[in-house]
Amino acid sequence: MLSLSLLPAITEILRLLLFVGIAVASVVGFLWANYKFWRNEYYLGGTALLSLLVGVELVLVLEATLPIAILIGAFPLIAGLLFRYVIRGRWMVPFLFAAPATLGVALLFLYPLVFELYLSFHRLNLETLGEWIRTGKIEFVGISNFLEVMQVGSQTKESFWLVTGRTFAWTAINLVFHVVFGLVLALFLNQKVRWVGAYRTILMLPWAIPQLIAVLAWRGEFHSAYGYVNHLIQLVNETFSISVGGSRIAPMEWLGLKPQEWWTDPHALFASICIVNIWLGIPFMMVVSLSALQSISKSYYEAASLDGASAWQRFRNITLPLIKPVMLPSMILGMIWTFNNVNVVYLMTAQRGGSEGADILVSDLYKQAFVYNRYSFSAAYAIVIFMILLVLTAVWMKSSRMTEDPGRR
Amino acid sequence: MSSLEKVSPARSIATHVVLWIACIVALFPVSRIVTISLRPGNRLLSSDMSLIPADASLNSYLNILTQKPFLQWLYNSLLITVSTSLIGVCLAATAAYAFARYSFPGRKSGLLFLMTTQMIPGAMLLLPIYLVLTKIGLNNSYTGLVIAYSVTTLPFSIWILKGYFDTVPKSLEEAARIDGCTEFGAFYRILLPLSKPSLAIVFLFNFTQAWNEYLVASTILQDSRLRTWPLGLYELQGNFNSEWGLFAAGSVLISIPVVLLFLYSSKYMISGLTLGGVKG
Repeated sequence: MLSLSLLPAITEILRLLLFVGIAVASVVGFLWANYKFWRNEYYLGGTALLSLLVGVELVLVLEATLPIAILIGAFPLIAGLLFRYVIRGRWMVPFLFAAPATLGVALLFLYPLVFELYLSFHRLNLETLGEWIRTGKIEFVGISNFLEVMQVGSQTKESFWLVTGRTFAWTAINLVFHVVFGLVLALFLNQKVRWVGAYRTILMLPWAIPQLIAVLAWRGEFHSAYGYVNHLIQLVNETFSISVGGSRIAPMEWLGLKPQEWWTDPHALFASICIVNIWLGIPFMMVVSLSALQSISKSYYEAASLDGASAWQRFRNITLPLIKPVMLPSMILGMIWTFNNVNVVYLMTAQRGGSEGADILVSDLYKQAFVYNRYSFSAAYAIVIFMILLVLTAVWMKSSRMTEDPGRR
Repeated sequence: MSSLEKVSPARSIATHVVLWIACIVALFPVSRIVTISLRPGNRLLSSDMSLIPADASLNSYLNILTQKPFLQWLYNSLLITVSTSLIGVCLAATAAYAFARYSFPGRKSGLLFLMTTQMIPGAMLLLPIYLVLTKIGLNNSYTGLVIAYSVTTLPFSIWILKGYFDTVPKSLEEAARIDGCTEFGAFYRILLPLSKPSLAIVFLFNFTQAWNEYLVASTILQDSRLRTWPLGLYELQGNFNSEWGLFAAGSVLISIPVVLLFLYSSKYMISGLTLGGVKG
């Protein structure tokens, strides 16, 4: 079993690096040539010729459809016009420097967005996939995918509104616990006590361990018969129980603390996912809060102490307002990350013995796309989710007045 | 609240108690993994709750190294990760230089767009990428995966590097330019050597992102020979008869270097985070 195959992978990687290098060189070279020749009298004619060549080659050699050939083929001519009449030799250095990354981002962020929009109005699923790969044709279905997304539940799909509600609850619960626990721990760590460095290192562990390992380990602990969590609950119940005349009284059990079927009961499953994700996310907020706390000048506290301010007053009137500018961007980032957290939810729910009924929007989206292979439906779904997140973030950023200058934050 | 204040004994004890409890919670699953990895069989749980089982053995470690293609997984992961980080750092450094040092049309909207990309759900990007890769026959290969990895971390890397470049005084490059250096030379010979620490951080950031990634890899790589370690470990745990001992042993072997690297680099990464996020 100990046979390693090393060569095929490394040749593929080398080929890939070569490919990336050629792509970067051709983009930069194309721009550079434009900067060099834009004044030349044959320049515009040259770009037009290039456009024609590219278009013809696309149609004849690569068998592209006419609109695509025109769209891609027109590119050199448009670039030529831009260089001649708009850019006129300016901004050469920044454009050359930003070009490779821009190409990458356009290829992997912009193009998918456009493609997703296209998909969402057509019908592509497992049945039509083969034909699409061969011919590139799919049926136009208008907004029916979007209507289907908004529908109340079906066999393979929970109600959109239910999942949306759960996602908001998920985001709020996680964010509140992350910030509260993170801030409290940071306040404790920001004191002159021994071993603070060691504590901080240990408390960072949940962030440091590979997420997959942490989540799968937690999932094992939530096993109803073998997991530590249920054992712990039982232990607590037994410790606090008293037996009166042969009958056992367990006050904690009356409060609802009972061993759960964590993997199969949807409510328990959702609770367990929340616990895991809260555990995972606290270190980030802790570290951000700590660095914010450490940036506060001590003189504020000294002045406040002289004036006789209580600890709570100092916290409320000095600490909170001063850490707010650092915390808000991180909280927004944290909200987006939590809202978009497929990994944790998927790893906790998608395995054998997993249960429906605990999915958030993005994990549901992933399952619709890659478990049920409903590609077009997922495209429409993804666009709806993106819109929700966009609106949510915009509203929050607006309400916390952070958008005066987008470049500065 | 302030760290200058002398802490009273009562408060010091309270602090230690709270931090101890927090540490126990933070360490809980970690300690469990270590325990399970030391058990002789694949027992997930006997009712034995001791940290080191009485019959501790290193069998699981031996088994995962000899009976499973664990080293192959690590090799695959390493190749993907290193090439991802190399591409990611090169693209991010040049773009961040343009954003930090020059003003040009599209600069502000470009930065804003980079922020917006953080909002796009991963599954949303994955679907078109998966379909296109399927169509051009590049699924089940590393090419698509590496490109996807290196570009998805690009916005964040650019933000971090831009934050660092902003703190390097411009006058150094200007002096080099006066001495006859080209723009690229000023970037390559002056700025890059000065930003080595931040480049290392971005490299590490790309590295850990790609190293720990599961979902994208599981969608694109279906051939079992191409597996990265997250796919392999997931398979061990999600199998019909979960091989808990092997899973735990593999987890420990992988976690140790990752955790050490993370703890070592976290200080710099956080300063980069807050710098890039706040000062812009």
